[in-house]
Amino acid sequence: MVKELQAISIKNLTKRYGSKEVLKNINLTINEGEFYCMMGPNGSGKTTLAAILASIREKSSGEVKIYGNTPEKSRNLIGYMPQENFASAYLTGRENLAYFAGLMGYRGDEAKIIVSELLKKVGLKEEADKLASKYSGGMKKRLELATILFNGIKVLILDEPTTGLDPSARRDFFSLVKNTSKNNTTIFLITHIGTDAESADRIGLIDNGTIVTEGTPDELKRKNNLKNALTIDTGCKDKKIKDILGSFTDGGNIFETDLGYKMYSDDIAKDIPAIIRNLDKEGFAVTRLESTTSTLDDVFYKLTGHSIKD
Amino acid sequence: MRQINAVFIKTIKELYRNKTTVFWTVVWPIIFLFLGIFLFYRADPLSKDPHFRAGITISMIVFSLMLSGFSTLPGVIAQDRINGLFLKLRSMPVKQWRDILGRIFGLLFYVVISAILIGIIGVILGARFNFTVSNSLTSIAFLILATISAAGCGIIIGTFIKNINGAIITGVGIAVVSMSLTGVTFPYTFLPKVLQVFSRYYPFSSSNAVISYMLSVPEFVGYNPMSTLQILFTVTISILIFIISLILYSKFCWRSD
Repeated sequence: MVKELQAISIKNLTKRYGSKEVLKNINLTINEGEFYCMMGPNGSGKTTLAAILASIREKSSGEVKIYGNTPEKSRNLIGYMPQENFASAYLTGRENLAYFAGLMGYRGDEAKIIVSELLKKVGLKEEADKLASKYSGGMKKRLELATILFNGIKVLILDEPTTGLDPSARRDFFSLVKNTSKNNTTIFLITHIGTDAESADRIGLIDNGTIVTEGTPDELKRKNNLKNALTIDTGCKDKKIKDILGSFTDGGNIFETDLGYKMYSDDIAKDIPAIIRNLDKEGFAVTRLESTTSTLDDVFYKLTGHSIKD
Repeated sequence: MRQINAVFIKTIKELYRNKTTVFWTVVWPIIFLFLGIFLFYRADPLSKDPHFRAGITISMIVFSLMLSGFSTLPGVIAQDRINGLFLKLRSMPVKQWRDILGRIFGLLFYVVISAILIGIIGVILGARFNFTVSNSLTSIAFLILATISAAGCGIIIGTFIKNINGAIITGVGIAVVSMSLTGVTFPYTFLPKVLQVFSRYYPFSSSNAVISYMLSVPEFVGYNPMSTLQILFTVTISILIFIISLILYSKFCWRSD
């Protein structure tokens, strides 16, 4: 059996800011070519983890290796995309890329060729000579994606790259990431959006500086017995409501939300009329009811007891 | 060299495409040049003297370079920090000193073009400069010295003041107040004794005095700025500000922890 090449290896990683521990004994291995997503709420430590991998921040203890070297020694291999729109508004798309090409050591015709290729790759060929300030949010993200696709870059670290984009632009962005990166490129995505995370091969859920669970999107849902979700807004919380809902599930899959409850069950659609009837009989009005296929947000909710959007 | 060149080109384009920057660092000094020649010094018979007009023109060039260094550069640095560019650069194989040298060369280029423009307007308004090879070379050297020291001050401001408006306003404030206190924008002879001493050793007013002494008339300067002590002090303090700014920028500006 051929052993897979490790692109990222993290052992017992801890990061402290003063007395506050933001990353607690993290262990993680990501193989070459894998698309890994670290999903967690704000303040969970995921951005700090990305920053350590991108050699922007220093670890407090533990070991972090990118292709066997420290992140500082692997800068040539790393393409980091921060949340912010870092492209200069005063430069055109082409000029922005030419600037990064210069920083990567390209010059003259060689730089011009690679810049044109990258603009074509990210679908900005026609808009290349427009100022970046005139770009839409999605176009800016595509331009910034191009800055991490230069030859030689093998690990992409994307820190909430779709912030501010609508769902359709987010989908387009991730299909572009997959299509433009080479087969052996490893992608490390940081996000708090479940639908973004679904694009990944493997997901780690992080909360309060600890990786809570790992697996493929389907594995995570299956492992946590989450098939369908029902959100019931009752406008109030009451033990009786919980008991009624509990009779339709195994009891452990009911969580309180801001406006009512959320429950998980295999065949929820069948039970909806009975749920409404039983609640009504006890004098509880249902103001909103939504049945959805369970998402990674639901997995996170089930494992941590709080929403990823908190 | 490629990294310095990339930053240099980016800096120049950003400076020239920002209309506000161009207005306050080029158009505004030119407006002041008109006001100086045709309004503020109108009553002074000397104001008709072409060399006196050259002196006013040189002061406006120094005014322009101080504003560029003190406020434009820290504004750009603060903007890049807020946009996350420093985080991005820190993750790349880019050295801080190459980034800052590119920025400084960009600013220097901008200042030289601005100086030429303001100089041409000055000539159109009747200014006449004493161009000799040695005068010109000395003046260029002091113009560069004043620019790198203004850039140094701007880098220090940009390193420690994270907010864009804060960085720009701090730079403008220091530049305008210090120019007023050291006689860059009005005659040295109008200054009280204590400020005259300060003016001789403040690198910008001192460089302004040297350039004016060389290219206009000594009467415009009001004293002989070519004393060994003053020259030595101006050169040393300018280089010192520049070196300190490079160290502080490299150590603190890209830091994210």
